[in-house]
Amino acid sequence: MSPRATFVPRRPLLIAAIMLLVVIGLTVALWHHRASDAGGQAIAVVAGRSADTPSLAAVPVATPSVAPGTLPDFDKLSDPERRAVFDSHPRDEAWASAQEAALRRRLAGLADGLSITGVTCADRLCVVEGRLAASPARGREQAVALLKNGPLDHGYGDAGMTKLGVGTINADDDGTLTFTQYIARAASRRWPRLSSHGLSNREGL
Amino acid sequence: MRLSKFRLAVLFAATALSSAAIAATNYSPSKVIQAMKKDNARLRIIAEHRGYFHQDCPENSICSVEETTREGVEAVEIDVRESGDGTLWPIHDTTLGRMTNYSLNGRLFDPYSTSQENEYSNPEISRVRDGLLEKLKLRDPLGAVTNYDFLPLETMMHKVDQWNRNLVYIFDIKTKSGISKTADMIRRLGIQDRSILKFNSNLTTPSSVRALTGGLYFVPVIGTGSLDYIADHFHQEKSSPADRVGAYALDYAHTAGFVYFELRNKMLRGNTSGSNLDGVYFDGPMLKLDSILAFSGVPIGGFSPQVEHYGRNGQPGTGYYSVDGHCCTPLEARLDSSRYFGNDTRDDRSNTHQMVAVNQVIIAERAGDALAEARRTGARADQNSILY
Repeated sequence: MSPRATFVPRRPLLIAAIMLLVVIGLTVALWHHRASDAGGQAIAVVAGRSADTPSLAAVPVATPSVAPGTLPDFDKLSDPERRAVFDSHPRDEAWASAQEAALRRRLAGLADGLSITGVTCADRLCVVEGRLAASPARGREQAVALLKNGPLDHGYGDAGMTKLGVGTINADDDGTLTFTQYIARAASRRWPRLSSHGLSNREGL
Repeated sequence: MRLSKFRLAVLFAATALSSAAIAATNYSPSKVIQAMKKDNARLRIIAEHRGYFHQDCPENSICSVEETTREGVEAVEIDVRESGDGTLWPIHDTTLGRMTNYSLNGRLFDPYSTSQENEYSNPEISRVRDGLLEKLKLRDPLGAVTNYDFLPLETMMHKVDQWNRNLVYIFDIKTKSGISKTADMIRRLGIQDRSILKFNSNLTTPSSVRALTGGLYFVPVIGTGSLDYIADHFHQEKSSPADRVGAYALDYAHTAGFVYFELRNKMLRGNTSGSNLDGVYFDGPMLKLDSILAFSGVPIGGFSPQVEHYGRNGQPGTGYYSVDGHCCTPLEARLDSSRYFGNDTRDDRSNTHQMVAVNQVIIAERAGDALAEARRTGARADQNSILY
């Protein structure tokens, strides 16, 4: 028997061994991918945009959950959360535009250096933005106190509104304060839906 | 014919076995970013600072990013500055000397010299036009000029992203205008699902950050040196500086696109404060903010530096390069202070063990070491959840 004659019968064994390695390799790879996928789907994307990519531009700030018709405690919310609550309320054009004009009228000139830079209302909720210029006649603490508990509150009351928490007060380098305050209709923290035709009594005023 | 079958079988075997091998680093960038958002002691996320750079492989380069992928690390941090033309370039320093072969007199910038002549080869990148920058080569950590071109950020990222889809890119942006420019670049390249904008929180404000990021993922950074400014300018309706800083931080945390807060909390090992979170002692000026974020469920990240330069013959200084490329000072020479919250009195951030224990995201100078430490301490037990 020549050496070559003994070699040939071994080749199928070698190929069988390699195929066994193939099976083991594929099994390990599949097992690994399956174990790594929390959703139970064995996927292996290595190019292109991934399928589980969130829609980035449209990610909203979560609106704090409260019972329908009630408002959360605004003092416990961050600025983006307060804004999200406000944005979740639809605008009632008739009431909002009238209230915006009334608020601007009543808040103007309530304190020396006070200016209102924005009033926006929704369906029973408004946001008021403004600034209080620095003045040598009052220190930072006095100016902050003026915005927290001062003439603005009277102006809101005159317009039939009440403040939701103290709001946010920021300061420039020169001491000028900018503020954002949220206010709601004074009667109750529960309110009826207001259609363009007027009040509906579904929530029992 | 038999030979052909044999080769085919070998090819199949090699393919199958290599599939099993690369599966371990087949990270899903979007899953990695989701994991960054949740404090999980069983899955810390590691990012490599400026990529894995070494001799012949410059920092913030195609090479260093590629090396990070080879290491099996899931994220890389790339520094971003603007040129005189307002174009984005991947560079850490404010100046060009340490990282490029820019030279006015034929001599390269020497980080160990402070002579006026030496400074001629170390101009600020914000004063140099793109046409000149495009002619430069990058220098490696030992100062040798390499064959790697200094590329604009967008050109580099386009090349990097052609072969790499498993890595999260964290862009460490040094200028306010660079934030929106980097966001625009990310959209042009279509890499929104794997890119994060990182910047000092004082470059913008919580109320205006969305206008700059356009809703893309972002990471604000706060250090001791920023605390007083925040307490003096934001949320003046709060009575205490700690409450003001806390409210400011939560405003960022509740903005669309927020991923985690990077805190320059330098004092980790001290136990004099008596404050204990998950067995790790905090200390120092950042303690209040650490606590507010922890109790609000906001994840934090931290940078873990390692010595950048060891002094050799004729080279003074061991430690860390200054932002203008000069060598070198120890971390302790850069401690910050706050009149409201006290002073940093030491810097423990090079302690990889503590950094992995405290932070959800660790931006590590040596990411391989941080990854090994995380594995050793069980902080990668849930790693499978960030794979495809």
